[in-house]
Amino acid sequence: MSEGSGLLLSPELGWALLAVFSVLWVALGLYWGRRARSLDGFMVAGRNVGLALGAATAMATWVTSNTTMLAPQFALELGVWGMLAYSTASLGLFLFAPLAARIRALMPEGYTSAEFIELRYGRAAWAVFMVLSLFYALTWLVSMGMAGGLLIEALTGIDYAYGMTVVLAVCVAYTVGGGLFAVIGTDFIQSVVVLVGLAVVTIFVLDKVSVAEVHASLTVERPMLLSVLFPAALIALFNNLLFGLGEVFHSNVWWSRAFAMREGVGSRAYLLAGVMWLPVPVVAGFLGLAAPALGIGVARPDMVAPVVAGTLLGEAGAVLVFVVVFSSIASSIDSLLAATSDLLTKEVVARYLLPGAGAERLRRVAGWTVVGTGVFAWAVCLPKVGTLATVLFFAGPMVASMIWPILAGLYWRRATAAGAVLGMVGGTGVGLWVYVSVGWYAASLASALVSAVLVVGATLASSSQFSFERLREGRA
Amino acid sequence: MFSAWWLELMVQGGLVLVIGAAVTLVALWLRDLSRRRLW
Repeated sequence: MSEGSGLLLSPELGWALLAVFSVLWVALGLYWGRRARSLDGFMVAGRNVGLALGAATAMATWVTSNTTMLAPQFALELGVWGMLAYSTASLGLFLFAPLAARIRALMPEGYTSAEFIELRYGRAAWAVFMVLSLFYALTWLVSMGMAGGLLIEALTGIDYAYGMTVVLAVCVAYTVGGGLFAVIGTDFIQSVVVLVGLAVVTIFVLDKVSVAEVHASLTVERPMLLSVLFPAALIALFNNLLFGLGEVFHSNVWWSRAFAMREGVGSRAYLLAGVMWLPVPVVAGFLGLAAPALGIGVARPDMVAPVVAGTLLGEAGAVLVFVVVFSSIASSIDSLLAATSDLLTKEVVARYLLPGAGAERLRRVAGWTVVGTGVFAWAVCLPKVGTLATVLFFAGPMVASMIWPILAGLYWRRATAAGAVLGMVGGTGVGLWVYVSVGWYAASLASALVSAVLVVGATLASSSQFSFERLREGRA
Repeated sequence: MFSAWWLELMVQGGLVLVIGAAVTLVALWLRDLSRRRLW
């Protein structure tokens, strides 16, 4: 703990840690970049990723700083249901498992989720999907960039602008250097770091206070946190579940991995990733529940995990938290940069700006779109507008509206373009209205319900049949 | 109210899963590496 300043780490130590990990990630990115010279190598890692790296990258990408920082906050504010609500996001990984296999089988030469939407539903649906998808991806990217700066500042005192800039610059550097190979390779290391770090902190917490003591303390001081019937938390649980499903089902972050994994690996990798991710918010959430029992006062609820670790383990604990948080942020930022670059390169540049460009030229373009996306995110992050949760949860109704168009498109021959467009637009509209008028905790729920009704209704009213073979043929 | 027993199960079970996940990832990595099937 940095004495006297209230910081967990000194700025000097913070800069040293940033430097060490920045050099490590960039060096690895350049090393793995030797494999990413081709477009396929850069975008889909050669389409031969095995189970170990596949499961690790799916799990690491889904572990964001929100998982390690917001889950404890959820637990502190909404109790046991809060951390369970957060863990329902693992269903996104579980339920994407069969989709990953289906996507690989239907589109063995595919690159993006938007490509599927256009082939399946046509240009109008593609346009709506691109707007929603890019908004979500950039929103998530900005929230992660902001989280990086805010957390580094809170932990070390390093100015927000500097910390945020370093985090984004490092992720851009190794993603440009190595494409999806670098992203997946660093994800493996980052996933092990997060799991080991979380386990170590939790073991130390349990050494100081037992679960029974935490329970007893909460029973006396904050019994609501142990309530089985906590209406706001229950609504948040289903909302978070649908938010998670929408994120995973539509986002090119997950589709690019489905294309990247070797045939037969995808479903097992996502199932395993779900099992590995599921306990993370529960264990992290326990740190939030333990804070009152440990007598640790927390001024900012989203800082409860670092404060608990720093208080119990001293500087070593703070270093561990710093490394875990940096890893969890980097593992998401690199994925978003790569996936967004894929969308922009394949869906915008290759189609409209450089229509005759060959693979080699597009490979160079892909690198530049990573840089451009990173610079855009940096510019939006710099003024530090909005809280972490606000920026991200606004995208909830948008992504939830895409669950049914994606599902129906992959499995239901009769699903129509009109249903898909109505589902996305109607679900988003109603969801955003609920977000503003009722609250964030019901917006995704409303969006998914409305989207389901519209998709199913439009499909039942139609008699058209889609041939899934058209997906294998690709674009003309 | 969630009982102490349930909370113990969730936390201890979660910790076991977290440790197991780390071990599993490393084991799978070593297996794929030995078979040259990493990527």
